[in-house]
Amino acid sequence: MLNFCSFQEIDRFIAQNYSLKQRPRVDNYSVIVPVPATADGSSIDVPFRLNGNADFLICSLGFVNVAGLAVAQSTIQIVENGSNEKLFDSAVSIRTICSTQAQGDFPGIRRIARGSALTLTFSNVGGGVSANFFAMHGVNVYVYG
Amino acid sequence: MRIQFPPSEIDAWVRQFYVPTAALLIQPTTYKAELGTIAANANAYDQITIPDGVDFVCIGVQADFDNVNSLGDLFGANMQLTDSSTENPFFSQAAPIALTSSFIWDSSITDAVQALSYPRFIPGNSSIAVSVTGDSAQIDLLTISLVGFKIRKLG
Repeated sequence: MLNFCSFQEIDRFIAQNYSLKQRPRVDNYSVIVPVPATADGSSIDVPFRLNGNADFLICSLGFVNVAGLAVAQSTIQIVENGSNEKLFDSAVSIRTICSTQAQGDFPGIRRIARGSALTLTFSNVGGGVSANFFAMHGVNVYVYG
Repeated sequence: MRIQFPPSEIDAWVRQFYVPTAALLIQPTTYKAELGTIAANANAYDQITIPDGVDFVCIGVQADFDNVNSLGDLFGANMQLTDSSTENPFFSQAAPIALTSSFIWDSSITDAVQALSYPRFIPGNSSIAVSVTGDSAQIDLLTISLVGFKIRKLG
C-alpha cells in the first residue's frame, strides 16, 4: 500500500482548489464503469461521463470480474476525452493499480471536472472473457457559489 | 489511497453540523439491512432507518451472508445504497457487492470493513435504501451493515 491518509486530506485538497465563495459540499461517491465481456487477447474502449453537477475526486480504484476470475496482466487506461489527459503514463496492470475489491494503490487525489467525458480502455491479456466492473472511489464535490 | 478515519478527526468533523457549544455523545455503531435469502436473479430491498434524535456518520460498508457457496455470486450480485436525506446514491450505478463492500470470504477469514472515501453524514429521521439484485445463484441471508458513528446531542 503506497499511501494511507486521513479523510481530512480530502478537505485540505478541497480548501486548496475551491474558494469559500464556491461553498463546496462533499459526499462520498463511486463512479462505476461496467466493461462488457472481452475475449482474451483483445481490447475494448468504454466511454463514460461524469455527473454534470459535481466534480469528482478519485481517491482509489477497484475492480472485480463478475465470475470471480483473475485477470492476470490485463491492463487499463483512463483518458479524459477533451484534454486527452491520461490517468496513467501508459496502460497499467490492473493488479498494480486496483485491488480486487477497492482502495487500490492509487497514490493521491485526482480531480476530474464535472461532466467530463472519459474513455476506459481494458485490454484482456488473459484470464477469462466474462464482464468486469471498475470503480473509481472518491468524492463528489458540489459547488453552490 | 487507503482512507483512514481517526476518531479525533471524526469528532472535529461532525461539529460543523452542530452549534459550536453543543455537547455531543459520539459512539461507534453499526446499522444493518437484512435482505434475507435472495433467489437467483431476484431483487431484494431493505431500508435502514436512522431514528429521530440521533445522527449517523457512515464510514464503511460490509456484507455478510450464510452460504459460502455463493462467494462467486457476490461478484455478480449488484447493490445500490441511497441516502434519503439528499437522494444521493453512494455509487453511480448498482455495482457488485464485492466492489462496494467488504465481505466474509469463508467461515474463518473476515475481511476488514470496506471504508468509504469520505464520511457521509446522515441526519436522524432519515433512511438509507439498500437494494440488491442477485446473480445466477441464490444468496442466503444477506446482511448489509453500515459502520460508523452515532451522534446524540446532549442537553
